[in-house]
Amino acid sequence: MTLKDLKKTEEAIKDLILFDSSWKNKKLTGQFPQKVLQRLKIYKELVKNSFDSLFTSIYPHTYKLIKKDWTNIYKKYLKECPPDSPMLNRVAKKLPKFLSKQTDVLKKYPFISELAQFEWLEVEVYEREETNGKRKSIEQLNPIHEIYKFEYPITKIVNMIDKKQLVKNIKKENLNLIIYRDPKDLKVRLFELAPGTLAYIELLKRGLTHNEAIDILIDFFKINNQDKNTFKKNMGNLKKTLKQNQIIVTN
Amino acid sequence: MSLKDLKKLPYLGVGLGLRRQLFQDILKHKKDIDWLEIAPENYIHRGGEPIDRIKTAMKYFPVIPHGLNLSIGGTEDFDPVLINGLKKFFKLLNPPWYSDHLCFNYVDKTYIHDLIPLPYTKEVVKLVADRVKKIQDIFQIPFLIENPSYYMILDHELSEADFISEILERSNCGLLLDINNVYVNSRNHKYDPVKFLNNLPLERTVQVHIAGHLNKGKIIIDTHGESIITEVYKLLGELLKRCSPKAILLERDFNFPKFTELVKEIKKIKKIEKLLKKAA
Repeated sequence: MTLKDLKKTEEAIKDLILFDSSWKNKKLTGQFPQKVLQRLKIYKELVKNSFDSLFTSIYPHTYKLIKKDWTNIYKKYLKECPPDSPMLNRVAKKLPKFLSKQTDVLKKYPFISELAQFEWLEVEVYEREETNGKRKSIEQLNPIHEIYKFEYPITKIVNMIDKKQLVKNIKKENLNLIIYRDPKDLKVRLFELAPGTLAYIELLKRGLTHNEAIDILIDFFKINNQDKNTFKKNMGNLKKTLKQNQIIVTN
Repeated sequence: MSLKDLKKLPYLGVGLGLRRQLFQDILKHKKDIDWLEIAPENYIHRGGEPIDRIKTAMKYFPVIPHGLNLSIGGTEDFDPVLINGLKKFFKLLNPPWYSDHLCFNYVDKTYIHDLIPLPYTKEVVKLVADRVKKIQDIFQIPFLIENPSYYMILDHELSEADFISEILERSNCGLLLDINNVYVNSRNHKYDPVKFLNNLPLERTVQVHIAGHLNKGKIIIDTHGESIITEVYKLLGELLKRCSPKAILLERDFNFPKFTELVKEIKKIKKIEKLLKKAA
């Protein structure tokens, strides 16, 4: 067996294990004796079981809704998004984007891609690498976070699935969330952001200080001089709340 | 790395695979466990709780990386994402050695995420030996290859034992001898496991894996999800009559029993090792 033959064998085995349609390709299956093909099916099953376990653990709520169509979704997903990372859980990373193009599933569950995105972001924030920037003893926005503007009430949908309620006729309802990692216990937390809070956090994200952010918001919301002090007091309370929740942290 | 270098490696004792679900119990049973093994692919390019767990583990145990996706037997160039991730992670871990399976699983920039056996040919021996030397150059620590369990034979120009032996000698690397895999393969492919051991250069054995498997009647699957059976313990005994590895590891990946059952298995392995060391 030359290296060229070995490469051909590797490619055929990869296709037969990962891509269901390849078993209909006699050029591929014809490369191997029956006994090898039978045993290749063991590897195919082991990989499928491993991937099934992965997807159900990363996307427990999404999976519950698409369970009936899972076999077809899985086959199509692997074909469009073959595993390109040595880290097993990254195999599942592209499911939200993939689902955003699956019209059949979207007809039934128009929020499905957002639900998957929510579940993926929890994983991503949980395991995100810290960037070792210069450690300054300053207050700043928790560096390990994602802000997402959902069009559907995703947290309500998650609760409905947890309570085994029928998830049907869900109307659009904006939900702004910050998903972040608590530096004290390393757990992932969620915080719903009202529009004003979102605007404030987005300003902090750009590197502005609390006072600079307040000045911009006063301008933006055209807060008059009479109400400025109340506004500043409220923003001070908001900052306290965000600090208590580890969304604003001191390094 | 020469045989001399392998012999200078530290003796670690009997360890356990670090799984998230077992971590708290591991910390409660520190005196029973000598070291921990991890799959580095589960930690590269990650932070948060996974890395925190490693840092905590490192306070009490040597932590040794045993890879899953290096694809040492593949024709594809090593993935720079994996190599760079490992380089950074090994700076934290500072391990005395690194190991992975004698298989391929990375093709056309796609990971199969399982351990596919290699054709046992002279051409593949050359390929693997060259790649092992590259890996040892990159990481500057001894590299060990593990004999994987396999359910199909792609080519047997060489016997399994000769294939492994030639790679070890040609690349001058160490062996991670998985004794459960020897048992599983000997049953699935009908050969004498002790004769198989006798045909390997066991002086290159640095580390040993021992685990349970699932007997499905017609075939045995290397699952790491069951207790170790008597025959595998006996085979461990045969191995330890023939060599003195630096480390033995109990692998249990899922279907976890009460932790005290795992401690019992570790103690049994230690007893076997002690008996055979005395006898040697």
